[in-house]
Parts: sequence; structure tokens; C-alpha cells
Amino acid sequence: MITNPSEMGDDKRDVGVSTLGTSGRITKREQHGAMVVDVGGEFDVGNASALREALVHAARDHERIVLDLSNTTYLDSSTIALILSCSREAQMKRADLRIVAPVDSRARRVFAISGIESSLSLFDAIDDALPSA
Amino acid sequence: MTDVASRQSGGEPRASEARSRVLLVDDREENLTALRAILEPLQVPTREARSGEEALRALLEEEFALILLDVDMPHMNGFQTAELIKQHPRTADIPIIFLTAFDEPLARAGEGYSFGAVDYIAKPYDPFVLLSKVRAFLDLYDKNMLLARQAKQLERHVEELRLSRAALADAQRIANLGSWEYDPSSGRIRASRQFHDIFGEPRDNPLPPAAELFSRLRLDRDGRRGDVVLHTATRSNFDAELTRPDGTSRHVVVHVERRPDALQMIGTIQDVTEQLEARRALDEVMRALEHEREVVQVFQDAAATPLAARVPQVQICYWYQPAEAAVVGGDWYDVIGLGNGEILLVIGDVAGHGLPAASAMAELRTALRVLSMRETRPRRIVDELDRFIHIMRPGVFVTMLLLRFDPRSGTCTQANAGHPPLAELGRDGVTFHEGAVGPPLGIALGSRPDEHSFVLAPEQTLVMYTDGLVERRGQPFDDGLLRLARCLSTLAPDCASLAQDLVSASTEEDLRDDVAVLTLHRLAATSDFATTVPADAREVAQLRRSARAWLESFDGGKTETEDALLALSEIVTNACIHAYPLGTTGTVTVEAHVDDAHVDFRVLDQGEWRAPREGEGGRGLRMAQRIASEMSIEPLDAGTVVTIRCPLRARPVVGDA
Repeated sequence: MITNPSEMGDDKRDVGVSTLGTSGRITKREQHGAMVVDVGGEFDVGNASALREALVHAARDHERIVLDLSNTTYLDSSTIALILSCSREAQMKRADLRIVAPVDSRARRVFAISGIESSLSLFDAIDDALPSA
Repeated sequence: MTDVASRQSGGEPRASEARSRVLLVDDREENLTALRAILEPLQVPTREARSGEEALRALLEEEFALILLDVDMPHMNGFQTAELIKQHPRTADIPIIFLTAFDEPLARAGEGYSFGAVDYIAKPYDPFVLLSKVRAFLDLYDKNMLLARQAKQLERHVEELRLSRAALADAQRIANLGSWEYDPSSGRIRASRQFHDIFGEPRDNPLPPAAELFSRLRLDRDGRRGDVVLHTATRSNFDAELTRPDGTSRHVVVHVERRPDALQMIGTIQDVTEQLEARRALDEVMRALEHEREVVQVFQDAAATPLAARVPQVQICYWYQPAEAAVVGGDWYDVIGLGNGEILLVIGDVAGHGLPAASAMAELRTALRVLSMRETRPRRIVDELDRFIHIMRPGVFVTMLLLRFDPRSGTCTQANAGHPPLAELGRDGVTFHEGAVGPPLGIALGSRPDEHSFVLAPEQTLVMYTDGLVERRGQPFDDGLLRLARCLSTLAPDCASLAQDLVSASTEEDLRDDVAVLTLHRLAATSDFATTVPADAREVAQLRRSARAWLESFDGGKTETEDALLALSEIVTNACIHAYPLGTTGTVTVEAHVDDAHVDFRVLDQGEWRAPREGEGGRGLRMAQRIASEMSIEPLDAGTVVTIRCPLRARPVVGDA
């Protein structure tokens, strides 16, 4: 539930964890100058607004945001809609929103089902999405 | 019961102050505002402090049920504040929830525990989790207050009883019986010394006329003056109240009879004041004991309502049987949903009887529910609870068996702290899962054996019980287990009243100890599923979880199963949002059926179908359509039914784990 600080490198700083009921959790950390929003568990119409808040909040102080969906076990159309709108907003503000969704991940599968893969800036792994150290 | 009373070291709890108060400590105004908003639904009075120093002042002025304490404050931080709070006997027992926004939350939490704090929560916190934790602690506090009051009252009654018994003994020794003779012709009475004493007349003086003496009596029966006794014709007894010349009053029993050969009347008078008072005090103590039993019953009734939501793949039975004698024990059971689809089954036995055991039981049950919100490994929960007892309830001894169960795979993980072994009933008879048994809780902190895992096959049943079921005075414990095995083997594993039947079958004589039994039967996988939920988008997650729990029993492939659940959720979400216009309520019903290669869902609502606007709702339906191999939307007279068929990986295996 909580990222173990000892597993993090020197340039990572855990800045907050929030759990959303028993279903979803959002962890934010700074890494290589980017704000990494790590999203675990289930997100649907009932709790997607928390994800929007986290992204909006992250965008306030950072130009580079990495949305890590590697550990997202469920996401639905309302989560997709919100990721799309955040991605569009980021483009308009010339901010950089990168999305990590490994090939076998649930997120990649749902992006494929909803046919929006091509409109997002998708990465297979967190290391690919981060600017090189 | 003294341990209950002394826990309220702040002195006599005041009944008028039944509302528990919460102290919010944070140096930042916006955080206090947020906390106030989160706790608003609880409707509890709060007080705010903007520094550790201010918090300590508040604690001196008022009593609090709970402290929410920000860790990161200037001057005196949360941990330093907590240390001071814990040092003061008046405030040492108040639970603290640390609020921390900082990195290393786990290390900090450890630091928190060394002060005897009860919990911590990391910022930004989930309002729901915070609210649940606060509610759990307030609940606990209220129960403790109630128990402390009951315990005080009971102590008072027991003291009264002791005094009354002494008085009764004195009264009997003195034998307050006076005898008298009455001559109606003279209207005078001749009487013994005790008669003088009872009437409060000096022994050496002549007595006043009989009518005057007896008119000082007032008969209990009809309130008439006592001189009517002198005109009675038959042998009779009268209860009466005597008012003496000095104004004091006594309760007396007057016995009269008329000599058959003469007109003279003889009788006795007995002062029963002390006896009556003793009897009254005894009655009151009996009422108090009965009241204690009722209070304990409240706890046991609460214990009889486990937490967990219904789990479709299992049948759970439970039964609590109080001892026949008027003592109540500390047995309890609980079933807690762990959020990931698994459930935690608990059976425990707090040593001792009556209010102390029941109150400790209630407290441990709440603590365990709180602990299970962030720790799901049985052994770790046992460790944490042990620590809780050492800090919060030293002197309490508990045996406990924790079993984590995954309804999809049947995987069981048990940790046993000095409790009788788990029994399994199935086609091959009865077996015991001995596992590794650690010491009971409350003995000594230290290493415990590892938890033990096994798989419960479908149609098998696990039986958890307290020792009252198997222990018989003067018989070896193993004989009890043999008797239990014999008894169990006569019962059906899928019986819907298994727990109750087991208790009545194995306790033929009077129960000396209370008994709790909790059973878990794993059902054979069924190919049908149906449920009805309120048409509220927030319910969709719960619906999906129960549908997932059902669908995962079939080996339909992880991706296919999740796709099907996504399609179902989108249709249900659509029904919740679009069938019922804002402000109206209704329900959505889901029926499902699995065959070799598909799962079919029917989603019914009674609302007005409106085509979703382009955007969110439209996308959801399109996604469902892409997943489904077939999909239809039919309007009904009232409502809409959506039918979809989703592919699964071929050949699902039904049943066996």
C-alpha cells in the first residue's frame, strides 16, 4: 500500500500517498525532475475524480508528468475519458504527460478496446518515460 | 471489573457528557478545516489546537475520546506531544491517530507505536478511511464509558449487599420478637421487654392502653390503623409500619390469636426492618446482576453480527451460546472483508467472565477490525493485536484463531495463538488442522510460529470454536476433540444451521462455559449469478467485485474475465446514470450465466432509457460492444434490458481447486 522508501533511489522523493476506499490508490513522487503519479488498483466512475485531482495538482508545479498505470488493475470508460481530457489539456499548455502502460497491462488492454492508443503518449516502462538521468 | 473502572482514570465519567469529543491538532488552518469537513458526518463535538502546547492545555481542561495529531508541527512535533500525553496518567489512555504527510511513513509509524499510540494515517488521507477509523475509536470509547459506569454501579451494589448481609445476621442474633397478652375487659396489655423496645416505650414504665399502642401501627394490607387487630376474631398475621413516639418508624409483623377458652388475646410482634432492607438490597443486587447480563448480551449480540458482506462462494454459520449459570464469558467471532475479495474469519476467547471479559472482547474485536484495514496477513495481525493488548490492556489473556480465506481459490491461511485446532468436515470425515500453535495473546511479546496455509476443497467445511465446546471438567482435552469429531461426523457439511446444531449436539449437560462456533462451507461453483443493486454509480465497484468473485471460480482466462467484467460494468454504469434522471432512484438487476465458452449477462433497469449523449456514456457502450460477441438493447414496458454475451477461454473447469 505504501511505497517503501528504502527501495527508492537517491533522486526519488515520496510526496504523498492516498488510498481511495479499498479499490484505488495514488502515490506521487518526484523522480528525475518529473512528477510520477503512480496509480494502483481499480478506478471507475466512483473514484476517477480523485485521479483527476491528483493530475491537476501535479500539473500545477510540474511541466513533466508521468502517469504510471503499470499497477492499475481496473479502469473503465470514465477513467479513459478523464485521461484523454488531461492529455489534451497538457498538450494545450505544452506540458508533457507521459503514460506508462506495459504491453501486458490491463491499462494497455483497455486503451486498445476503447481505440485511443494512438491519441496518447504511451510507454512500456517507467524508465522509458523518464528523461534520462 | 476494577480494570474497567481504573481505565477511566479521569475520575467518575459524567453521564451528561455522553458525547465523545475529538481533539484536532494541526498547525495549519486549512488542514483543520479539512479535518472538520471530513468528520462532519459523525456529528461529534471537536476542539482544535494549533500547536502541541495548545493541545496539552486543551487536554487539561477537557476530556477527549480521541486525538488526531499532526506529526509535522513547529516547536513541538506530534511525537513529542504524544510522549507528553502518554506520560500523564489522566490522558495516557486516550487513543491517538497520527497524521503524517512525510516520507518514511512506515518508520515514523513504528516511532508512533512506541508511545502506545493506536494508529496513524498518511496524508493526503482518504476521507473514508479516516472517517472509519475515527468512528471505530469513538465507538470503542463510548462502550468503555458505558462499561465503566456499569462497573461502578455494580461495585456499589455488591458493597450494599455485603452490608445488608451483616445487618441481617445481627437482626437474627438479636431475635427482635416481642410477646404480648391483651385483656379486652381492661383494655390493657402485658408484654415482654422486647415488646417495649419495639414500640420504643421505656421498659419499666407501664404501657399505654392497647388501643393507643396499636393505633401507632398502619397495616400494609389496607392502610387501616392497627387497633383493628385487637378486634380480629381469628388467628392472623399482619404486616405493618410502626411509628414510634420519637418519630422513627419500623417494619413489624404482628401475630394475633384468641384463646378459645377465654376472651383474652395473645400475640407476638417482630421487628423485620433489617430483614426487609436486606431483602430489598438483595433484590437490587439481583437486578444489577441481571442488568450486567443484559449489557454483556448487547456485546454478544453485536458480536453475533459479523461485518463481512455476503460472499457468494461460501456459506457461513455462527452461533453463540452463553453459559447456563448467570456468568457471561468473553468468546467472540467475526468475519471481516479484506477488500481484495478475501475474508478474515476470527474466533477468540478472552479469559475470565462477566463485564471485564466482555468489555475486553468488545475492545479487541474493534481493534482487530481496525488492524485488518491495513494488515491482511494473519500472523502479522496476531502480532499487532498482541502489541495492542500489552499497551492498552495488560493483564488480559486471549486465545485466538485467525483464518484468511480466498473464496476464489479456496486458499486458507491460519495463525493460531493458543486456541483449539481448526476442524475440517467433509466427505472423508473430520480432520484437524493442527498447524503451529503460538502462545496466547497477552503472555509475552516475542516470536511466533509462521502461519500455515492449505486449500479448502469445494463442499468441505471448516469449523472454528471456543474451548467451551470441547472441554469437560476432569477429562483430558484430547477426549474433547474426539467427542467433537464424533459429533461433527453426524452432521451435514452444507447444513445451514451447522453451528447451532453442533452446539446443541455436543452440549447435553449444563454449559459451564460460553461457547462460540463459526463455520465456513465452500460451495460448489454455480453457473448462475444474480444480484440487484441501487442505481448508483458508486455501487458499480461493489457489484463488479462480487461478479468477479463468482466469475473467477471458472477458469475463463484472466484477460477474458476482466474484459467481460468491464463490459458488464459499463452497461450497469450506463443504466445507473442514464436510466434514472437526477433525483430519482431505482435499482439495477444483473443476471448472469456461464457455459463452456461464454458468459451471458442480462442487465435490467426500471427507468426510462435515454440514449447517452456522445462522450462518456457513449464510449462505455461502445467499449462493451467491442468486448461482447453479441449485444442487444430492448425497451420493456417499464425499463430496459441489455443482454450481452462475452467470450471466455474455452472449457471452464467447474469446481475442484
